[in-house]
Amino acid sequence: MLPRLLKRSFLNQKKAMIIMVVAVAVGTAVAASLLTVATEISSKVAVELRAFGANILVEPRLEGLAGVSGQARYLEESDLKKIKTVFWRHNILGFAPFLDGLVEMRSGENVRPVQAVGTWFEQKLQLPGEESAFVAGIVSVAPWWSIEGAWASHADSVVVGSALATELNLHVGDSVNLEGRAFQVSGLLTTGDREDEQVFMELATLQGLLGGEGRISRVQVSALTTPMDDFAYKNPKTMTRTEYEKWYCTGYVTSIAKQVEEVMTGSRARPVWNVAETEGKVLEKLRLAIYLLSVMALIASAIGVGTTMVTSLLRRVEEVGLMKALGADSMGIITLFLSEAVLIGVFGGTVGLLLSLWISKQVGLLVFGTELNQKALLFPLSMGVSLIIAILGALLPIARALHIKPAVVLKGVE
Amino acid sequence: MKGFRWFVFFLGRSVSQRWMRMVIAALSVTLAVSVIVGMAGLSLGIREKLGDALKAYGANIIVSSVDGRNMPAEAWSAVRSLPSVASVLPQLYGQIRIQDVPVELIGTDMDTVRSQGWRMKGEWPSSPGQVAVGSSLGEVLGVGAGDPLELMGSTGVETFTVTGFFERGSDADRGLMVGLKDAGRLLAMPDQLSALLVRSRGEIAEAVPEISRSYAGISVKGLRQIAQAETSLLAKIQLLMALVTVVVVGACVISVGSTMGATVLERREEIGLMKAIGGTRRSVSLFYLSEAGTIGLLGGLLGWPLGFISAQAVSRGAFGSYISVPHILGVAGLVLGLVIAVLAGHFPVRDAMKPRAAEILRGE
Repeated sequence: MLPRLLKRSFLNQKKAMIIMVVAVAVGTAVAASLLTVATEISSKVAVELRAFGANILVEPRLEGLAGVSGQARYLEESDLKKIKTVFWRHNILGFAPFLDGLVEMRSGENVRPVQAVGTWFEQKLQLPGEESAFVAGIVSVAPWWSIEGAWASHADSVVVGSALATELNLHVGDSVNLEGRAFQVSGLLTTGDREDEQVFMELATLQGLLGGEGRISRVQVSALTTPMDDFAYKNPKTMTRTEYEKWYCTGYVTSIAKQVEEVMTGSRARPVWNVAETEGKVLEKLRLAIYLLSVMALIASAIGVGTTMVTSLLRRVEEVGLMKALGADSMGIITLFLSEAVLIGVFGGTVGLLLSLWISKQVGLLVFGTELNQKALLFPLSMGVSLIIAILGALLPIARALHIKPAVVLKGVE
Repeated sequence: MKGFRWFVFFLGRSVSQRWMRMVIAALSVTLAVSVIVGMAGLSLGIREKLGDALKAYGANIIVSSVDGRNMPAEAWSAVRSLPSVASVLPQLYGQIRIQDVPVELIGTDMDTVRSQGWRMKGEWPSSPGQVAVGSSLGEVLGVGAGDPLELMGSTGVETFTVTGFFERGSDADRGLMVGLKDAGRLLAMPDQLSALLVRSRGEIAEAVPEISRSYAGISVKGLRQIAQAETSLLAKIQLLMALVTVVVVGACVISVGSTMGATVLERREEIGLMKAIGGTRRSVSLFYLSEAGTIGLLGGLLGWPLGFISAQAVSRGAFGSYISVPHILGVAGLVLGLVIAVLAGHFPVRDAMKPRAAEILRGE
């Protein structure tokens, strides 16, 4: 009896059924895609925030006051690859080594000391156990560098800061003399900061020029971090063992810095605080905003679905009257309506989930250029919620319907 | 029955017989409008709020002297009063000696520094003769807060008191910071500044020309590092908000549509009745449209303050302050409610009006 009645319901009232399924589907789609956006946005924005630059600076540990000025000690270039072996290695999105030195530049008749910096511009590292190469260098820590011309990829080329170039009347393609060796200016660099007054080249080139094989002055690291909270600001030296482990295993900028310090011999690593703190502030605000927005929109879609369901089912009050007149008992009516609601919930929920997959994918691609991951937990959760809403939406009309006198209903007056 | 009486009769019938359904329909419109108003308001406000959070980065413009030497201190007062400037940090750079070792010294305005919220263990200097030590330098000096520190400048050896240790995560950590007057004296550069670190109030592109015009002989450069990252991030967040709004608005419109559609489906008999007792096709559609319109207006009326309140609630919760929602949004909300309801209501009406009166009355 039930299957036949159900079939009759659906076939006779196609439009009504479609409306209800659409309502549940739309509500599910909105809820599921919003939840996905809300949970994914933090990690996507965290990656975007790395465009602000390196958030960890590694320098040689100072030993004694004399080391404060000039460069008394260096870090080892050979330690660099160990950076991608630390506990939080997957959060390390980039790093770049730098060697600083003063060189004598001869350009025409001008002779002057200039600040020279040797670094990696774009260095692909093959890490053990990883399929694709890890890209290190300037491109991974300072994406805002604007070079007119090209980077100094040849061993005899240099990039000159634009302010310095203007002062010395240098252009791309010109020749300069550094420490007696001839170099060609392959590009001019503009950042707005002190780089505009320096001369850049490949790390190996400057090492050769200064006679310092395998030496680096400092390293900049770009890492995805968990925003700092009160616990994270505690001095690690004063933490208990459990606290220390918790701190170490959470990706705070301070704990990641400590891990990098451990693998770079003789180093001291500390957060670049203005970058780290800005990130933390932006992520916190964004997370809260999206969370609250999601709650708002979820309530809205639940009510939206609810109103449609209630309205759709209210009109079927007559049908209930008819059923009662034909001898159906209350249990039978309740079963019928509930079964309908379950079918609508399942069907609408499935359509809604598929729709939400498409929505999240589009939003992710449009805004961040990558897809958002829809968490597996979402599927049973959304389905469950759609079912609950469908059933709840059926309760009111059912409750109303059961109190109706068939004759009254059949006469067309409520 | 014709005209106005006909109209009133059916309106009364609607209200008395299906007030619950009308309330629900109005509710769905309220919801749609409040979501639209709320999210539109938030989208406008989020740019401003995130912009505030991004200020924690610090300066995004560097002002220095064109010839590479120092500037007169009055450049600071010229720049700080400009409307496009949010904050200015004056800097005087030089070297002094500690135990005959050259150490970098930065002279700055301690009141401005204190408001920046930089990491500091201890206190920033608040009177002359006090010095803040960078964390790297502090590790090798072996002094604590309150201890004396001898600085050798152009005037000979002066004893300063250490007030605290700062950490920037830059090479400033190997140096010291003192007040501008002390620095001017120690470095024999009285009333001079090496640079002004400026944070713009709005876009860098607007601030740079204004700053350049405010004083002669200065070079004003925007920091590419921040400019690009900020613009890109804010643009992405706004796009995200817009897309989310579109999705939710679309869902709301569909939900209103299906609510109205469900309402009208059942009224085929009523339509038949209307036509039978004197309604023309025109008056029937007019009736339903005005019913939908009333629902829309009422729903919109309620939806606008609801949307406003929820937008403010989100803003307060997330950003700790309120956003300024333009009042045009309220009018737009009302109009929107009207449009949505009429639009959503007119399709099912058109569809339901197709069959003939007699057929409906017979119940087929």
